[in-house]
Amino acid sequence: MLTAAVSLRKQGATKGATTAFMISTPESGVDSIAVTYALLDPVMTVARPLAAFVTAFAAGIAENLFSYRGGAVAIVAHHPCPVDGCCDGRTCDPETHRHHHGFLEKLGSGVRYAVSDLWADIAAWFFVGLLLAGAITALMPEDAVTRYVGSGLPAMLIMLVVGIPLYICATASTPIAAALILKGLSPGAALVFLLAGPATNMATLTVLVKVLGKRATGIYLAAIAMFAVLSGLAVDQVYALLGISAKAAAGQAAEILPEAVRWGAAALVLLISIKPVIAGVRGWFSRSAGVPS
Amino acid sequence: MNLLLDMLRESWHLLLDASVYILFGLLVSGLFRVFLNPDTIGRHLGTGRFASVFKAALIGVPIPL
Repeated sequence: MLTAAVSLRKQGATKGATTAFMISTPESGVDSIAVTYALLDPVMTVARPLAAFVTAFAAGIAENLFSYRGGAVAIVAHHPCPVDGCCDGRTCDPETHRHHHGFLEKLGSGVRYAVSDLWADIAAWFFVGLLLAGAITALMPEDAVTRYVGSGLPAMLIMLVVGIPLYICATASTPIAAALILKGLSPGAALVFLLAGPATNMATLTVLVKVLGKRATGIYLAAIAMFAVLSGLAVDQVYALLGISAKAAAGQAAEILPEAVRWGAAALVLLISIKPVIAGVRGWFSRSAGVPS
Repeated sequence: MNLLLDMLRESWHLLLDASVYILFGLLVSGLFRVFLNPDTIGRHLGTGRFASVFKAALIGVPIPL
């Protein structure tokens, strides 16, 4: 995520556009949208990317109101080959390059990237999320949420305080939110956690100050906090209006799948997770301050 | 010990529920990577004060990182 921000700035993207990208990318992705549909429900599946977009747009606009200097900076095209790196994207002709690789070759490279780069980054965190969710479900007293977290705005502010310093990616935070909802947390408060958890942590904030400056980082943080809470309030209203219980709706999507398909998929996920989980755990122990990019 | 088993059982249930969707999400993400690389989107954003922000916010929604 941070390298993407540096790369965007180098290519001449406005600070506002970079800020926006830095919010909507970690807060939402195809993988986390799919997992949200699986473990939560359709309302949250729409609310998460929508809230991410609104937050990103608002923060980017706010930043560009301060820093926009007109179109003085030329956009430098940077189009490296995503398949096998056969071209660095600066020296080759884009038209020639477009036809370097066939569709199947591109598909293969996409799947390889998804398994050995993307899932490799997420896997260890996802299993931490699963174990935490299991612990919450099995160990947390039924009345803990109502007693200590409550509902409405106070619950959302608590989720904000928990989520902002925490590093957990969008996909890994989903099972935790599902477990908290099953313990009675309001969907709005869960959404605050789902938005604030992935978007910010201490390490990214430090780097953001370097790439974008203090003001942009302040706007970034303020927009995430403000829009996370506003989205949470709005989502609670939506559930009330539709008369849906988030607790009852959570995880329904997976129930319709045949048992064999679910077991097969779980086996496959475990299989592609072995290597990254071992590497991830090793990384955590060898440098305790390890923070993923 | 029982609590630990309960905990693992709950985690396993979540994994069963999520796996098909994880694989689907990874597949689509992989396609995005090939056809819409985050390193290259700077080109598409332009330098507009508002349009560039709109596009950046929108493109970021499906991209996982």
